[in-house]
Amino acid sequence: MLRLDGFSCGYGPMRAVDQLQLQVSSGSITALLGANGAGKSSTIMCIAGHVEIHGGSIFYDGADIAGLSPMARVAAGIGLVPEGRRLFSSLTVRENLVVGGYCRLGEATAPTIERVLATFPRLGERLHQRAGSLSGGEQQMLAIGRALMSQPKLLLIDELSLGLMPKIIDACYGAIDDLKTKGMAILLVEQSTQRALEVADMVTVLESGRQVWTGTARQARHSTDMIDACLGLKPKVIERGK
Amino acid sequence: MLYVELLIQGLIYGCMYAMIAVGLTLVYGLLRILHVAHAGLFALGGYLGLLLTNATGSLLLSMPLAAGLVGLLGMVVYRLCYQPILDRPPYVALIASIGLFIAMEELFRLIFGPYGLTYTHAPLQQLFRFSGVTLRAVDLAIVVGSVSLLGSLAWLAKNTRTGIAWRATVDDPQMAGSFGISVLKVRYLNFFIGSALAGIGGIFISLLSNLVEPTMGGVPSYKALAIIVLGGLGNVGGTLIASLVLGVVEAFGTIFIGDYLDRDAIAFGFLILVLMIRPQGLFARS
Repeated sequence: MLRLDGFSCGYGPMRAVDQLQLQVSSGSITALLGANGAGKSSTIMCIAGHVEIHGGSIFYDGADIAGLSPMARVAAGIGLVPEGRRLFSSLTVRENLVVGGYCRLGEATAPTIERVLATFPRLGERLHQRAGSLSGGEQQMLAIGRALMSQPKLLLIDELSLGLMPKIIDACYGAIDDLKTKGMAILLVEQSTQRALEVADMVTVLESGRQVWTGTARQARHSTDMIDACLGLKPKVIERGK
Repeated sequence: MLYVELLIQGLIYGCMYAMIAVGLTLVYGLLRILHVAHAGLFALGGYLGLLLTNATGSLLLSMPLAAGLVGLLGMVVYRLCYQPILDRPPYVALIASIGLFIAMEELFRLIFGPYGLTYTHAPLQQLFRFSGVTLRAVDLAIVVGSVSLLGSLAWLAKNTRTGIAWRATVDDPQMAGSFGISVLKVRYLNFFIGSALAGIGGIFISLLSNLVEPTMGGVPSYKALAIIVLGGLGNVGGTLIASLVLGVVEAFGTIFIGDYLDRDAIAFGFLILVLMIRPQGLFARS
């Protein structure tokens, strides 16, 4: 579904990610892990078209989409749940969902809204409430729901669990696991290694913009020391590795 | 009965201020630009309304025509004056806007002459009496016209796909664009509607005083700028309330302290006083 080949991106002359190789298949979750500033969010935002690509290719559904606008990428089936959610805070829950499905011009939004509400019943109780007045967990559900409104085949999720209560995190992870079983490809950026490894199929670790580890989640679970080291939790291991 | 009449007069002026200030706050909310040249479009609305009414003899025909033309010119102002400098610091757009306003005033002076123009047969001058209160037809037209236009705008913004897209763009243009909303179209729509409303405001004031003149945009523009600060920059609801409050304060002030201060001085005194206490405005968004 998604393949990054020699992918580099950044901001003006500053390079945030260098020579990344990554793949996300339909019906699977790839977790992109790394410490703060490793380049995870830049990668996701570049795939969504919001950050400049410096080199390499972004193949989605077999075609290079590097030259497409963010709008065209959403229309092609790439949904984004950005870091910090970036909801339209003065709009109601329903209105946020309507905006999420805006690129599906001419299609009725009501059935898609119903599907989102079936995934997150809590949003149904808050349908006419302003997004800015929702709790953090509800806002995260709405951010995922808004992305689902464009009926994506690939979902990019940045920091799913950040600042949320464990119960809400469980609900959100349950929802994305459900989306995976329905065939959606998911690229998940997450700081909580443990959480990510519970649902991911593949794992890629970034450090200072460079890819330092790739493998299956099963392999990653058996080498947590290495992943922790890459996350900056055990710097001595890195020194020994070097 | 005097207080009722004053209240009604205040609301009439408040409606007129709302027509100009709403457009200004819409532009600020979307682009963070203080669009001073908006007052030039307000004056242009007055001129076009008067000239078309004198030519056709029909206010009903000339008002939408003038509003549409002013709306289109508003879009041209955005395209030529603001779009090329959107990535510059906000004061650049402010200076450009002030320059454009001065240029428009001078153009009016050159084209229509330095003295005012009047309606050949001033429309809506009939008198009505309701429970002891005397009103002109133009007073009623201003209230009914403003309430129905601004009410329709609020309804459209709340209940249509385009309205929701518009509000989403005001909240976060980058995210709105990524969901398929054309930010450029929203900006053009914003300028069209805001300018058309200002144009109708200009026609209203020309009907009230039966006069249009090159400098007629000056005082309303200062008041509208103060109103949008008072209402909380970018807050449409706050702007409407602030417009009505200012109109009522002016009306009462002219009776009680009118011997010492004129209408405009009362308005600015009130605005300065309120902004000293709440510099962020009465209804500032958090």
